[in-house]
Amino acid sequence: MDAKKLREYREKLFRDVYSGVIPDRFPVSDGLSPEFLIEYAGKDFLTTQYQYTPELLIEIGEKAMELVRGDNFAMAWARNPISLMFQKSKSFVMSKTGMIQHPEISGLEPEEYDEFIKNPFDFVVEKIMPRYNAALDADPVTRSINFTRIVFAQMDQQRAFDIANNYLVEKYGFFSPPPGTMGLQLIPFDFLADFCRGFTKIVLDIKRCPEKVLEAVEALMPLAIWIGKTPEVSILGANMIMTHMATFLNQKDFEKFYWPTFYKLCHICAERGQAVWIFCEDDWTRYIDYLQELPPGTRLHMEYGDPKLFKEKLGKKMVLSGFYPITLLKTGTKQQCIDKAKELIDILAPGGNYIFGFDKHAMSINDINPENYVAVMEYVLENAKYENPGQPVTTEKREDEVKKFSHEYPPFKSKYIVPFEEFIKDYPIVDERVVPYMKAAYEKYTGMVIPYLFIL
Amino acid sequence: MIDLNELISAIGELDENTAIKILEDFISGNPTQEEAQRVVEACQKGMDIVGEKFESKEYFVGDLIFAGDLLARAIEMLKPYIGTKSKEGAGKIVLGTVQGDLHDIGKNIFRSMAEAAGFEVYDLGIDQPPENFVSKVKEVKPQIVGLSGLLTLAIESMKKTVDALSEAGLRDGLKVIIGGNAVNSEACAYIGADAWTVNAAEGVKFCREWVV
Repeated sequence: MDAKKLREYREKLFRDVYSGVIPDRFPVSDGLSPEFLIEYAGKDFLTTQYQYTPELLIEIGEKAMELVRGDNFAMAWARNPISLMFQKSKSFVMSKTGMIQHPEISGLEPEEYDEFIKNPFDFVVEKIMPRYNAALDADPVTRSINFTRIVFAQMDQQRAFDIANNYLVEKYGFFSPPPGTMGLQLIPFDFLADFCRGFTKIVLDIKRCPEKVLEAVEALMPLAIWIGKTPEVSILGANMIMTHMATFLNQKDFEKFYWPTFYKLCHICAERGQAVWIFCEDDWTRYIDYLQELPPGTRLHMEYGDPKLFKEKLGKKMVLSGFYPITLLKTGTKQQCIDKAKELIDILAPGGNYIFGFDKHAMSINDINPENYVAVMEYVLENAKYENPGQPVTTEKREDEVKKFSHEYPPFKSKYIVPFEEFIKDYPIVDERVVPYMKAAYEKYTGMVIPYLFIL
Repeated sequence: MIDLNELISAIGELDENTAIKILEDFISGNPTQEEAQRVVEACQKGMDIVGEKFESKEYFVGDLIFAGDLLARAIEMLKPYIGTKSKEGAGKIVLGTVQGDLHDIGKNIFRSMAEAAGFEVYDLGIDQPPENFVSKVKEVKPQIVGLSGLLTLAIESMKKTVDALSEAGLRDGLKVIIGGNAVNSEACAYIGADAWTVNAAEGVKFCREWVV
């Protein structure tokens, strides 16, 4: 099959799965991060991450094809050490081996909750950003220079990844969601925990000032809705959620602090036709009944847990993937690795709603034995066919189960992000005919800069 | 007169207000060293209940962190009354997050629970190369080494650390426990550790069994 046909075929596999139709075969996802692939290409990760160019990334991507067998391979993004240098970041720091990680850090003090609750976005950009990024805690001129450096460094690296990724997608016919259809969904409790208070502080707050935590997660909702809005909506796209704190909480705290805003945001996405893709970090088995309340067609990527139970309870309603322990590819024999794949396919594939995937991606060269990786991927692809493609997974109507919550929240507001009309009122307009162009440019460049206001 | 059972249960239930009130009343009576030691032991018994509730999956990591903070607050209040009389330690543990990994929340929970159980813990910190474990083990001669890590790359670093301990002739008679999101029984066998856990309370239990 040529690359164009292959791409169409693969896109149909995903379109079918996401539409609740049994595909020709279940789609298969690779589990290789750019960090791993840099080392696989024989390069030193520590220094290579400072030198990304389209050519270098294509070279790394071409070498990766020795291992890649899946349908939606992407080398789309990596952390940016040059930007972190310009940020003088304290919230993302590099280990001696070069891996950039997020240490425990607190940018919001307990006595500041009231101020945070008044306008979380303004608090983040005014207080937390300079606390986490020492280079932004400077006089306005120095700060502007540093911020410009950060934006250029980010855009340069992302451009290199985009060019390389598009090249590989075209050449090898991978499925890739249409532009503008993928978003990151901010989850209020995780955001408050990971990027404001810190992991070990938030668990003290929920015991010592629970009402403030509840007000804070609610106050984050307009921001979460606004920032989660993708330019386009497609069944092939999704808002991605990387869960974190859920399984570290007891059930009572989860139900009170974590779940309500999480649940509403998933339905708010569904209201406008956008699916959510959720990485359920750790073992969500004890929350399986909560997951059942999410909109039909929600994509759940599981790390741990009992796949049988998930298939039984969620298999008709949600698309499941994950569960394959990537560490087995390092510690197991080839046969053990294949047996594990067979075991998971036997449980998860029947009846559709399944995408093969590993619990997480290999991050460094020592994480997996490449021979085991290829053996598993090839076994999986040989055993991915369905006998009844085109059949619906279930006859239940999907849209009936979407609850409406967006009307409960006011639109997002900040003095830093204002409509064009407000922005322009103290600047001369020489001719009405240029107003549409000015407005379009305002929206374009404002949209481009927003993600960088949030580099935490 | 302090009701030790009430204190034990307040800590076990993570009822901070009650526990602190009991301790305030207690220290206002200017207790003797022995009385204060008994209250410290009661606090540790309260932590045992927390550990049990964690194992029975009533409590989770968030509760353990809160319990650790509560215990630290309690010990801080009692410090002026405990005196310097050192009590016999349960044993020594050299602990650290292995090379390449900066995550330390799990390690810190384990440390506070191990300390509450009477262990003397030498915490090397994060991103620690094998040679730092080797030199610390040579220096303090612990019964146990605890290796922590969250990322999958930690597995290789843990193996290198255990290998380095063996090469330095330090592995005999030394127990090695590994902990963190990425560890499991296969990883444990690969690394050559004596035990693995994703549960700090269980980890401390292993350590207690080893030093009996």
